[in-house]
Amino acid sequence: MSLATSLFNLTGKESELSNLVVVDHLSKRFPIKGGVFSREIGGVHAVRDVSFVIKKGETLGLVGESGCGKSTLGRCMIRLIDPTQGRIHFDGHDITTIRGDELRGFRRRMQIIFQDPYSSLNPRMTVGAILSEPLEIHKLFSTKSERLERAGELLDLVGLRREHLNRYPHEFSGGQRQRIGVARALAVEPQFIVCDEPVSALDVSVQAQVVNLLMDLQEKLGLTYLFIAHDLKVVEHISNRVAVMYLGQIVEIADATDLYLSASHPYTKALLSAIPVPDPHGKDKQQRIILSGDVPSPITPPSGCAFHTRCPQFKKGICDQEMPLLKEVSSGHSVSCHFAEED
Amino acid sequence: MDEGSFYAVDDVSFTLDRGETLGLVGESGCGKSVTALSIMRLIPDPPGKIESGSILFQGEEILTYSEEKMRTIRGNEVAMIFQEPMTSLNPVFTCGNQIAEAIALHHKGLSRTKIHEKTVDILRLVGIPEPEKRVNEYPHQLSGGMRQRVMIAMALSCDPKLLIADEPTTALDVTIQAQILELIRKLQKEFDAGMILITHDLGVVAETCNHVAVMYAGKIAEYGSVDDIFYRPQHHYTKGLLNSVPHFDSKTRLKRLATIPGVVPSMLKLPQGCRFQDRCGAAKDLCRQQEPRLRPVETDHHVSCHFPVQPHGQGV
Amino acid sequence: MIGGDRNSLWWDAYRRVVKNRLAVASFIVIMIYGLLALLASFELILPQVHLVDHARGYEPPSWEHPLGTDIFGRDVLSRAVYGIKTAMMVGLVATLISILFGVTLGAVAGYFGGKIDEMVVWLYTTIDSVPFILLVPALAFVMERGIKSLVIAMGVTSWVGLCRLIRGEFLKHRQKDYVLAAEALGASHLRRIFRHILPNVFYIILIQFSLGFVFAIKSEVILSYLGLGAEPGTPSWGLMIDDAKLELARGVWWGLAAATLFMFFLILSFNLFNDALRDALDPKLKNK
Repeated sequence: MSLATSLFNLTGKESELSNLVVVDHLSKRFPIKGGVFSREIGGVHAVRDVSFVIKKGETLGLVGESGCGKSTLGRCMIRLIDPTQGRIHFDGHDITTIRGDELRGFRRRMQIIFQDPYSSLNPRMTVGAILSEPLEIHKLFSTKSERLERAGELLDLVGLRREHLNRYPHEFSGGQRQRIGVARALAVEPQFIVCDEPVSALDVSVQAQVVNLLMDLQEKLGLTYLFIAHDLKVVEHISNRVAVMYLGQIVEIADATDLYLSASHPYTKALLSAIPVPDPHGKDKQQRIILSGDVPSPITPPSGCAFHTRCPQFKKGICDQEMPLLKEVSSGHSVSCHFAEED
Repeated sequence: MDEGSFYAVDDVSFTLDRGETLGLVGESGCGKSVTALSIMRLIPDPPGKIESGSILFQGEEILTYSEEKMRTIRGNEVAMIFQEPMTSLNPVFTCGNQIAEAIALHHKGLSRTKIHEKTVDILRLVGIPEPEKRVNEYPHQLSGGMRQRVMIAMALSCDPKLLIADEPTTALDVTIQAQILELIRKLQKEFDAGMILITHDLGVVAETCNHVAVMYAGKIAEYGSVDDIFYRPQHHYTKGLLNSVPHFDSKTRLKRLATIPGVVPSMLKLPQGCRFQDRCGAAKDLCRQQEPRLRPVETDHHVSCHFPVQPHGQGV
Repeated sequence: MIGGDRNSLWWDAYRRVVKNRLAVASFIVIMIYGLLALLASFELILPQVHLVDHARGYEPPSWEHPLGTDIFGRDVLSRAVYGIKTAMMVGLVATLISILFGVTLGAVAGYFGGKIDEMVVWLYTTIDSVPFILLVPALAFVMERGIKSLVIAMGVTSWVGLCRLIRGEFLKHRQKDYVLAAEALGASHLRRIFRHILPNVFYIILIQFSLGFVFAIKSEVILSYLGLGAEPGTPSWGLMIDDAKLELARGVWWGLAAATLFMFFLILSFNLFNDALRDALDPKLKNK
C-alpha cells in the first residue's frame, strides 16, 4: 500500500478532504546524453521516491542545499516537469498524466512564484500585459478594459499602484518585481502556490516585506503554499511544517517548531547549527557541527543512506548498505535515519 | 560632477588593526564593494574615480603610489577573495598552476620543485583533500566550496597583511559556508592578518567580526564593535535591519516580520538631509534639512543620526 | 509592440540609435537609395535608361550624360540608378526568404528540441557543408539564369546562420522563468513562442536582416560579374563591372566608377547603420 493511500485510510475521510496535494512515491530522473549517437549514458537522480501531503491552508516548507532536488520536486507537483515515477494528487484528482484542456483547468488552481525577479518577468511586456495574460488565457473576462481593471486590483492586492500598469519590468526594483510575480500567480485565483525561493535573491529588508506579503495573502485568500528555500530561518518562520531534503530524498519532516527544537536527523542538526545567527554571543561555537566534504553527485548517489559519506554518526556496515526509510518517531515527525530513535 | 555621475561611496572612514576583522554590511548598491575595491585601487578609471580622501596602509598613503608600486602591494600585502570563485579563477590553468604563479611572484628565485612543494602545502593548509592530486585539476573540476578554498590558498600564498573578502560565502550552501568561515577564522589567526569582510548577511558578521560598519546609500550609518551593533544599535537603519531577520523563536513564528518600509533611494537622486529619512520612523524636520555626520556616541561606537535610538531601549 | 510605449525597450533602442548622428545619416542615405529604387521600379525617373543609340557609344561624361554612356550609348547614370532597383530587390527578397526559413526552423528546433531539433540541425549542417558560392550557381543553372532564380537560390541557402542563432536563443529562453511562468499559467506553445520568446529575440532578426541585405547585394554583384547572376540587359552593378573588363583597356572608366561608387555608398551606409543597430539592440551592450 502506498504512503498516500495509507494516509487516507489512517485518518479517514476527513483528512482526505483536507489534503490538497498528495505526493506519492515521486521520482524524477534526468537522462544525460552523450557519445557520438547521443545515447543515454547516465542520469541525474533529482528526486528519489518522495511521498508527503500538504493540507489545505497550510504552508509546507521545503529546505535543502543547492542541487538537492527541491525545485525539481516543486515543479513536478504543478506539472511543469513530468515525473519519471510516482503520482501526484491534487484535491483528490490524479493529475500525474493529464493533458490538454484538463491540465489547463488545473493550471488555474496551482501556480508558481520564482526566485529570480529579473528573469521571471518578460522584459518586453508591460505589467498590464503580464497581469492580464492569464485572464486572457483562461477567458476570465471578455474585454481588454475589464482585464486591465482586474490587473489593477491585483496590483493593489500586492501593494503596488495602478499607475504601474503601463510600466515595464526594468523600471522596478527587485522587491517590486517579486510583487508583480506574486500578482501574476494570483491572477487566476489559485488554491495552491509553489514559492520557489521567492526571497533568496532579495535584500534583507525587502525579504521581510515579501515574506509578510505572502503571509497576509495566505490569510486573506486561504492559500496553500509549498515554500522552497535554502534559508532555514525564513522557512521556519513562514511554515507550519518543514521537510528537509538531501540528494533527492526527504530525510526529515516535522512541525516547524518540532524540527527546530528536536531535530533528529544528523543532517538537519548540521544544517541548523551551520546557520549564522545575528547574535554574537548567542551560539556556543563549541557545539557547532561542521560537516566535512561536499554533497555527493546526484548522478551516482552513495549506496545505503545518501548522507553516510558526511554523517558524524556513520556506522559501517549499516549506513553504507541499507537505505533507511522515512519512519515516524513522534506524532507528525518522520525521520529517515537508522539511528533516529536513539535521540 | 556632471549629470549621471554620483558618489558611490561618500566620506567613509574606518581603521583596522592587525589580526582584527572589520565587517562591512549593507544591502546591494550601498557601496560596500566599491569601498573595498578603492582600498586596492581597483576602481576602473574611467568611469570611476577616487575624488578625495586618503588610504593609509601601515602608515603610508597609498593613493599617491604609482601604478607600479601599487601592483607590488596588491597580491603581496593585500589580497582579495571574491564572491564567485569560478569567474575569478582562470579556467584554462590548473589550480596548482595559478597558486604556483602567485608563489613564484612573491618568492623570487625559488626552484620549481620548491614551488610545487609549497603549492601542495598551501592546498593542504586550506583543507583540500588529496592536495597532491588536486594540484593538477582545473577549476571546473572542483565544487564551489573547493574553488573558494583554492581562492583562499591563492590569497594566502604570499602572506598578506590585509585580506579583503567580498561576499566570500554568498554563493555557497549553508553547510559549506560554515566550513569556509571556520577556515577563514582559523587562517586569519594563524597569519595574524587584518581582514575586511564584506557581506549582506548579518549572521556571518556576528560570527566572524570584531568591528562592524553598517553602510547605507554610500555612507557609513553606524560603526562599532559587534556587541555595540548587535546589542545596542543606535541607528534606526541598523535596528530595522536586525529586526527584519527572522529568528528561531516559536513566539514570533508565523507573525509578520518587522520591515523597513520603502526602497533604497537612487544614488542619482539622493534627498537633501539624511539619506535614510524616507524610510525612518523617527525622521524629524532636522533630518530633512541637514545631513547627519558620523559622530561618536560612546568610545568606539559612532552613529550618523540626529536622533539615535536610545541605548537602553530594547535591543534585539 | 514595436514603437509602443515610451518606456519599452524598443523605444529605448530607438533613442540610442537616434543619438548616433552617423547612424541617422546612414539611415537617410539608405532611405534615399530605397526611394530611388521604388521610383525606378515604376519607371518614374530617368526614362532614358533603355534608350539605345549605337552612334553615341562610350561617350565620356558630359552635361547630357553626367557619367557618360556605355557601348550601346545608354546613359550610365540611369543604368546605375536602375541598378539600385535590382540590388535592393535581390537584397530584400533573398533576405526575407532566408528569415522565413531561418526563424521558423530555428524557433521550432530550439523550442521543441528532441527529434525535431535533430532533424533541423541535420538539415542545416548538410546545407552548410556545401560551399555557398557553388550551391548558388548550381541552383541557378537548374532553374534558369536570371534574377529570380538567383534570389531563390540565395534565400534558401543563406538562412543557416540565422537559424543557428535563433535556435540557440530559443534554447536559452525556453528555460527562462518567464516562459515557465507562462506555461504554468496554461499558455499554449504558440503563445509562448510568439508572445513571449519571439519579441525577446526579435532584435537578432533585425540585425540579421540588415546584415543579410548587404550580403545579398554583394553576392548579386559578384555572381553577375561571374556571369551567373542577372541576365544581360538587366541594369545591374555586377554586369556593369563585368563590362568594365573590356572597357578599361580602351580608357572607358566611367562605367566601373559609377557601379562601384553606387555600391560603395550603399554598403558603407548599411554597415554603419548595422553597427549602431547592434549597439542599440543588443541587451549585453546596455548601459554603455
